[in-house]
Amino acid sequence: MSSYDDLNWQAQQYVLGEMSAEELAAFESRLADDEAACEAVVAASALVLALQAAVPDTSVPRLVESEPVCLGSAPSERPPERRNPWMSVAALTMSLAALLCLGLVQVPTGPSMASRDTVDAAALVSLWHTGMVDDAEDVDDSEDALDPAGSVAVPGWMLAAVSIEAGANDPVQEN
Amino acid sequence: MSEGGGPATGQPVGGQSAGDERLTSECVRALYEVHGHALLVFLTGVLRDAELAQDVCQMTFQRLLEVGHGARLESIRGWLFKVGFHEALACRRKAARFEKVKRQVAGADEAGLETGLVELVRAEDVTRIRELVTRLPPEQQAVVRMRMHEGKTFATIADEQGVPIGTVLTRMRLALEKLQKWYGRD
Repeated sequence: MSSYDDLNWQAQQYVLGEMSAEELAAFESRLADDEAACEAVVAASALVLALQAAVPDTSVPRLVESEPVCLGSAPSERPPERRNPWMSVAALTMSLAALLCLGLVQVPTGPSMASRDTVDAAALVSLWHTGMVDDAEDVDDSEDALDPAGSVAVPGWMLAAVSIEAGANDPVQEN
Repeated sequence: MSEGGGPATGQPVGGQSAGDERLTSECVRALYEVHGHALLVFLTGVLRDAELAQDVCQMTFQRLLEVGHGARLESIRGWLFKVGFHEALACRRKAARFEKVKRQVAGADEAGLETGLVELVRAEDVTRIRELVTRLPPEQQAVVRMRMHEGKTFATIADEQGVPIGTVLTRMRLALEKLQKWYGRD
């Protein structure tokens, strides 16, 4: 480091109040006689004032507040997991079934049909599980979603899930 | 500096005959326009109090008016720094009383202190320094932010970043060196 840089650094520390008592006394005794030291304080003070004035909107990356980067935990760094694809489908199917039971997924038949849609959906799921898809006795056949002939109209997504489950030898499926 | 009444190099500042003892107000005003801002910034760095720095700056130019006629033109800037620095130390010796008054004033109107600081920094300089800070490496930006914006000590910054305090000081020094060089360019 050059003496010029040392002087600038001392001046910056002086302006920031980062000097010890001994350093402060030594530097201030220099300021009394050394114009170059005074000029260094002018430059340091101007810079510090500008930095302080730039406080509110300064966009500085917050390293401390950012999420810690753990090697190996980032998605791009993790090795691809080996999963059984059928497990994913089964999990999805069960999730959808659970949502239907909870009434979180509504059949788009209109706002006034929300509650009946939930019951019908639950009924469909129940029928699907028991294998009695064709039995429409417990289902409201006045629904638009129902087959005019009276049988339960199974949604396409459920049929697709059922066909996949059948391919995976799902014991529940009986069709 | 003939327009301000300043004579050629080597002669007293007053530009008057040897018998005159005081500078003219026009001369002092001209010197203030040339050196006033630098002196104010210097005193702000020494005192870390914008209002007090302004008071001391006024006192310094008052001294220039009274006894500055004997100073040499080529050294008038150094004369101002020297006198201003001694005036600042004299004011700082009364720090307890000044601090109390400052707190009372600050409690009544903190905007006054902020106004003083804002007057020392131009809006374009603020914009420029913001842009310069973004050029720093992230670790240096973080140290600058934590020290300058959040007022944390270097020891606290070192603890939070999990690095030695020497590392923090080095980052701060490198950051300020770069900013000083970039900021000084026109």
